[in-house]
Amino acid sequence: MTPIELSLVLLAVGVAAGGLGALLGLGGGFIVVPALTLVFGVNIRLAIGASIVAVIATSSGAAVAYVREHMANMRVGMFLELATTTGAVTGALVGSLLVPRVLYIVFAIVLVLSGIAVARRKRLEDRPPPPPDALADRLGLHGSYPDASRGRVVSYRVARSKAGLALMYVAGAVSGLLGVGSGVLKVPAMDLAMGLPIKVSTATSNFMIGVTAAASAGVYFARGDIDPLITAPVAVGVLVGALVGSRVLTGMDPRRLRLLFAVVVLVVAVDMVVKGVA
Amino acid sequence: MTTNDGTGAGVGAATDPAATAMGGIEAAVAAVLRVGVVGSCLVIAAGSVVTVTAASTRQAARRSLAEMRRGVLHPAALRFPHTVGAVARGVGHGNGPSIVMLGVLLLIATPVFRVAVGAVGFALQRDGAFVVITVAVLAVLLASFALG
Repeated sequence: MTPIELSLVLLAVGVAAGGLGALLGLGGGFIVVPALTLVFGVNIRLAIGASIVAVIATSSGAAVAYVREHMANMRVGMFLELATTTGAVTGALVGSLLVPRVLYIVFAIVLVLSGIAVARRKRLEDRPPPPPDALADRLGLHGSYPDASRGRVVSYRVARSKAGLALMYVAGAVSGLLGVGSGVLKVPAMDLAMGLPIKVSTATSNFMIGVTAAASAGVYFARGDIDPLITAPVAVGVLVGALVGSRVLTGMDPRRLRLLFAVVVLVVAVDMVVKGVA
Repeated sequence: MTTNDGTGAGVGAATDPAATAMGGIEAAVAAVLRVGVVGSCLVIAAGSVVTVTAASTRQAARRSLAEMRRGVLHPAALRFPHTVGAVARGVGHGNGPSIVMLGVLLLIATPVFRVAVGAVGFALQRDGAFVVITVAVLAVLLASFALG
């Protein structure tokens, strides 16, 4: 395979990762890392280096549309970034002290449970009104977004913002610790605890993951784990995929989005179990 | 948004001063993200083209990929720059992989810039709570760069 042929294949891998990642609020690392290591035999450190750049590309590429169209709740995102970034630093700092074998299994169980809960969650209209949240009121976190699948603008109220902050700290720490994208935890935290609509949860997760990934990307760059030959086609593909994926989200049936999210989360959970047992 | 029923966020935002202020910050953040994404994409693509067309790197790239596909961590044929200085020097010499890395660095910097632009926006709107929040996020980010 010539460099150009390989680049074209990696470009396609990137488009898939960016498109799915943009829809689901994930970075797409769950596609990039296995594709690079299992299919192309790339060293795991170089694969992770490329995937961390892919996460930033998904996040920034999708957020262009999500911020402009109010799909992402920027105030909620920036508020929660307080916790995800401190969590990520904590995770990276204590990571070397722990043997994360048990953690992989615990994380997998949490993923399976939250994936099922996200899939079974009632429609926004059918839920009881969320409990009042003074902090969310004071910070002006409530919002609305245009939902093309419903053909109208949907208003929503944010609940349990403090619990959300605590969960985001855990999500950040786990991603720093296990080196996995934290989107799989961020989306359920916003969806289940804070009561955001599923599309706002995935769009806001997308908006946030780039910041956490940027913090670790500096480290990978300095270590020489970001290889231009591999990273270039993946990053360009991811950007294209994310731009397309972010156009699709608003028209998507929320129920279908929930199911798709649950399926991907289960795949990630299986991967975690394998890592924990191996 | 063709199916918007006319009570869209744009209309609602125009009547609510707080929402209008937020709209300005959103526009600025979206602009930073767009410039970062499009700019880095173009630089990465240009660097890739230079890498595979320049005689000096084309053969090296071929050998490098072969080694990479055997799981070699740092392929010998095409050692890639991993300090900002090395990237800058390489770009000065028109070295393809260095141009790609410049684009990658631009991409990595984009979310950081977007937090900074948010902080400035909130300061201009005198939204004290969110100035504190975004500056704190920026501080944690910069600290993590320093730690790493």
